[in-house]
Amino acid sequence: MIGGRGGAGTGSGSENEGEADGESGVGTATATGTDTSTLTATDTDGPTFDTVDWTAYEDRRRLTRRELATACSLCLYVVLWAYDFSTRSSHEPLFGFGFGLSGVGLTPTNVDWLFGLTLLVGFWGVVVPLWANPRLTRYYWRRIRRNTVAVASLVFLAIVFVLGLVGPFVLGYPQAQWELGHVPPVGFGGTWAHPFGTTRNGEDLLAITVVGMRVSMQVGLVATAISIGLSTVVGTTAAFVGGRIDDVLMRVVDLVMTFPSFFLVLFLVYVYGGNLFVLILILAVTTWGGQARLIRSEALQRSTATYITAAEAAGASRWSIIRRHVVPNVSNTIITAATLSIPVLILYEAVVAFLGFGDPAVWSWGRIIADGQSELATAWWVSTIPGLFLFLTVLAFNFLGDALRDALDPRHEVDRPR
Amino acid sequence: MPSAGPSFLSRRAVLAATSGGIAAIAGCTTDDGSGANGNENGNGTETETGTDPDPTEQHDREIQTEWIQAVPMEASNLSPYWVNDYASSLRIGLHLDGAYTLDENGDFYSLWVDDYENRGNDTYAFTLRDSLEWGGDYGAMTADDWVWFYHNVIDTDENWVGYLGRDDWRNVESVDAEDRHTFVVELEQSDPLFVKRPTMWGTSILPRALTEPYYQDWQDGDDGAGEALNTADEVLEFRYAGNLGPYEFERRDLEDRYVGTRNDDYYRQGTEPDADDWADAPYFDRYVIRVLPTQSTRLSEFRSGGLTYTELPADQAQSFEDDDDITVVSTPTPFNRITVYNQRANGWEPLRNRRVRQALSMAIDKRTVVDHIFDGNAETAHTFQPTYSEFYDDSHVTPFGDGESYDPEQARSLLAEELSGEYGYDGDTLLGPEGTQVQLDLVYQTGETVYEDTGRYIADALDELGIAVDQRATPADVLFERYAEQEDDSGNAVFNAGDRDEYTSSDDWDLMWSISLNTFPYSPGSNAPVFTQGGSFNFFGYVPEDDLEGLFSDAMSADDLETQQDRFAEIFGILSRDQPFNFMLFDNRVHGYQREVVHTESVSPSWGYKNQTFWATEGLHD
Amino acid sequence: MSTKSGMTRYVGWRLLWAVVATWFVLTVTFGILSASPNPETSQAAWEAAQSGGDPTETRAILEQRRGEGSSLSEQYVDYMVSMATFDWGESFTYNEPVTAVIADAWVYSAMTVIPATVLAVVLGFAIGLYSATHQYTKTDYAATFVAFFGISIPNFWFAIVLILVFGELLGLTPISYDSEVPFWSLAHLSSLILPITVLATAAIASEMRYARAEALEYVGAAWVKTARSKGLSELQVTVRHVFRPAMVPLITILIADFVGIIFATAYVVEVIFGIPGLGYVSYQALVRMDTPLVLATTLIPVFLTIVANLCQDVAYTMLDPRIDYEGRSR
Repeated sequence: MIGGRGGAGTGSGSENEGEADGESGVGTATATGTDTSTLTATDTDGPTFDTVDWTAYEDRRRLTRRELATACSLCLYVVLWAYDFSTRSSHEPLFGFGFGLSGVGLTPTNVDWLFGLTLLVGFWGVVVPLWANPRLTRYYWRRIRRNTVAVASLVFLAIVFVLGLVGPFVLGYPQAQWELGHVPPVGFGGTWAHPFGTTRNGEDLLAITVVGMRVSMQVGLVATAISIGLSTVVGTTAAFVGGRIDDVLMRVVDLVMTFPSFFLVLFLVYVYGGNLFVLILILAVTTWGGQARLIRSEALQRSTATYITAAEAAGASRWSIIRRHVVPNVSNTIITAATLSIPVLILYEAVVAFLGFGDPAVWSWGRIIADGQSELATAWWVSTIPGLFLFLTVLAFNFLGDALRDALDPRHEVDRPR
Repeated sequence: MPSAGPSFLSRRAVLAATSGGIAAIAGCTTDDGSGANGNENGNGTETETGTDPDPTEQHDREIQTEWIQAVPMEASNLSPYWVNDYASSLRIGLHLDGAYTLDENGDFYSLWVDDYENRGNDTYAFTLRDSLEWGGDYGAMTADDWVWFYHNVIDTDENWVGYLGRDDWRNVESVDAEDRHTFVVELEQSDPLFVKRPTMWGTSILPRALTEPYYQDWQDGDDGAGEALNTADEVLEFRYAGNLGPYEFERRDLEDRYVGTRNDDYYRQGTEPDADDWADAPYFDRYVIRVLPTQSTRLSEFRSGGLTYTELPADQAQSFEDDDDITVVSTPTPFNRITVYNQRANGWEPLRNRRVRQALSMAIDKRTVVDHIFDGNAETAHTFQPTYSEFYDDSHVTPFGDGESYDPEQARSLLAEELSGEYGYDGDTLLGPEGTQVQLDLVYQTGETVYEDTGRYIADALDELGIAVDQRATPADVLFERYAEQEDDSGNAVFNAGDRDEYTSSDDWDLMWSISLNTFPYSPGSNAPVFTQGGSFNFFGYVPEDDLEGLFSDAMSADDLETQQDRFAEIFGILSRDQPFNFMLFDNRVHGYQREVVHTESVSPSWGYKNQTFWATEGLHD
Repeated sequence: MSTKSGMTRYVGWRLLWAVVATWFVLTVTFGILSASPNPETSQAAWEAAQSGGDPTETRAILEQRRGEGSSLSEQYVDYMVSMATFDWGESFTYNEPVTAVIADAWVYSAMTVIPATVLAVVLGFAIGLYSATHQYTKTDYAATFVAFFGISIPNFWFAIVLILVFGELLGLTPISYDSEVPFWSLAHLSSLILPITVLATAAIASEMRYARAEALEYVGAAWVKTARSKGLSELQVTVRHVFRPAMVPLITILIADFVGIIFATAYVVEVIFGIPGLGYVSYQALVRMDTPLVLATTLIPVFLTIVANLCQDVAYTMLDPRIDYEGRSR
């Protein structure tokens, strides 16, 4: 049944054992990517030896070039934000753009700044390490590639991401044309002036859909970045420091998890308003519990590993061990959890909008779907077209997340020979 | 829409919603168009129907099985002394008619009270029908019940029942029984319009014999007696209601449905006025109120015939008007939906300048809002009184933002002229003292798409003036708490704590859209708290240049209608010029009925005052 | 460590923690409630001020009615005592005992949530096991798509479209839930089909993920290999040796799902189909700031979740000697 597909990955099962890299602290990340139970189950080639990342131990008091660059770019970003915050009123463009259907100024809001920060962190935390470790990257790619739907999802998400970033500058923000009212999409009596039709206020649905890509990506990515950040700090600290701190942190996690978060979200949004920025913060701080528990249990397995003992013996401080060794080693879990939490948060935003707490000033897919649901019977396209995109995006994240888990989590032996 | 800001309306608001205008002027949108031009002559006897059968043919009025209507909200209090929301008064109205109501011309229309007599503007005598019977062992409703109600519920030192309408009785000196069925109300100050005030009109009471034991308990020091009375099963299940309303209580399933069964002994059957209409009233064996919180589900049920009647959202009424199986009735209301300008210290300072407010009002096209957002189910407003009110005088009113008075160009030059030298236009942008664009905060409530759409329209329109607008939407109660309430010196939250430079709401705002205020077209004197400097509702810090306080008290103390009309016309003229807020519009209520339902009244702001005589030509939901 | 007294101490300690956690959640809820405006009071005060009355007096009357006349600390103590003694008081909005309100409502929730959960477990496990044993085939993708459908679509949108298509357009099912239809009737069943569909599709994915992950872990396990080498068929291996061990923590997952469905997804479904169930009632309580009802409806899911976690941990420690009570060294 599986045929040749199963064979495609043969031999790669042990490859993660051999990954190393002479340049960075992340290099040790994969050195113990599998725990012993999997090792015994692995009946392919025997484990190869690691090239040990000695620099990580020798240079531990000096910053690596990459860390320096990360720190510099973050500082620069904060300075930019501070400048923006202190000098510009919120409606003045930071830069003006004159191209496109209507000139769009770049007027970053709080959410935009957070989004930029998320992207920056994502760049240094995910893209650069992958780039720096081409062998590792190729290995992961081979594992993901076998799941064709996941690859298609990745491509789709990349398109949505790029369209969301660039699209609004080309198409402009949706402008109301009050006299126009509902116009159906092309093929249902509409014209190419509005290929997806318009809302009851005559706003172009194509423009809304494209802007919505940006907003939904912002909601998903920013909220996830915050909640994953929180859960990583809590999870790894609890696992590695242990003792009373572990107890206290895990009890806090218990509370976060037992709190009926759906109601808490509604409640806070009800009282503090549906402002997108506030909503993202609320979503982030109510959803990190489960991930923290997961990361802790992964980190627990790692913390007894020999390289940690070695680092401890070499006199590394606890925090530097957590940062350099524990976190990178659970990064697979972190990335998988993040990918799966993005779609949940995107949908959460839509439900909040349905309950009437959407941010009226923001063109999120959730708000448009919620706004259009009351007129589904008379103007189906208003809710359905953005709904389709939201559906595909969330679906793609789910497929990708599961594929990542298969590929990154060594306990899931995906290429079991039959 | 499961709106989180439930539309609580007080009994007063509910009454006013069905209160009268002088003549119906709003467009009726029944499918044959009869009555669409309203009824200017003020003669309310014309019977309007939306359907073919002739309603005067007696034999048509068979009693059908069910009237089913859907509402978005469960009721909160079923005691007539505690009711303060629309959802509850709707249910109570099935069992208790109330003293009397007002017809399409705003005149007295008999229910429990057979007739009244005005004995010189300061004394009124009300005579009850002699056929009124309480349920259980409580016997007949007599003048004694009302006298006891006044002395032991209204006129006690402490409000032991928790009755919210006590303020309505401020002007009442005494209530005494004249004979078994007649009681006399004496007023402190003469009031030619007393009958039209919400004091007696629409008021329901409990039998004396039921209330008295609780009153005794309270006298004996039981603080919980009031609560015990209002939550007693006997009260909540209307066992006392007897023949006083068209339906008897059957059951209430929480958040699901409320069912009444036809009251065969209904006192109003076959009695005057309109004995023909009331012959066998009510015309349904069961009256079912279903709670369906989601608008789209309600409308789906209605379209496919599962409901007899439901209210329709203004912006979706059009699709129902095109439906042959459905009759749509759009009725005017005295509720003014406004955009308030914050003239307190936490608002944009230039809003204190009347001409700046005028400029902003000039730049917002009310026509667009009414036609394209409310789909025509509203009327533009230029002052705080509907045009059908007898206190409205067109010649005093200065319009802004309607037809020719909508002029963004003039608004822009007016702004440039009126704003101090620190402000200035840089191209299309209005720059403030710090050299940055002027930015205003617009707040409004969530819950209806029309609020949000209009909010966006206002933002767009002001953007044309070079002003940036930040929109914020919150549930109504949060809106009031954050943006309207101020803390006074004793720490209480009130709506006008004093000097506008000193007392402000907790959060800053500049414009507040979507709130809707009753304009009291019968007794416009009730609007003084809104427009006088120290008025209890002047939360927006309006300081009139004219002596509005004096004008209001002149108008109210005038004994003849003509002087009152003159004074009020002057006041409303000043308000239209001063623009303490942008008066925006009066929105209609839009009712949808199955085609078979025959109406027995003409379209007016009092719509529904005879709805218990509506009947159906055939069975609806069998 | 794994002696009997150790176990008792562990369970006792966890129960104590459960009480503390519940108390904490209730306190936070009470805090938020008392810090927020009450819609009914706000509206009444607003209207009183507009007609020249005193908003402070109006507020006082309404607070008196709700028994909020006393100081905040007194109220807090009152509520905590009433929660602890299971004497939950009367709901403000319905003038009925909180227990009666919940007793009325849970039946409606159970009618949709239980069948939906069963359906989701059966389908989810089937898809999960199939997906684990047939990775990267077209049928795997199709099955996974089915499982992911429900968590990728906004529930409210899906529910409304189902109503429009099956209820209004095709006329196959009732549009909203009608409580007057006899309980044991086809009409009643047909009015439950759409809500159950929406709820079940929303829950399938988590069951499927769980089943798939467990299956992937066990397919490589030694006992499975032994079983396979004994010559058992693939189906027998899957059912007996992969499925059975995966069932152990199922109860926890079920409770967690159950709570999740009732208090999140079910709300949306109940509000759209007009079902007077627990999710909807508790949401209404929240929106109307009906303190006794909110506290009671918060207590239930919190309690269920804590008990479920406890069961899970106890089950693990009893069934798997590798785990000690601290949950470490797994």
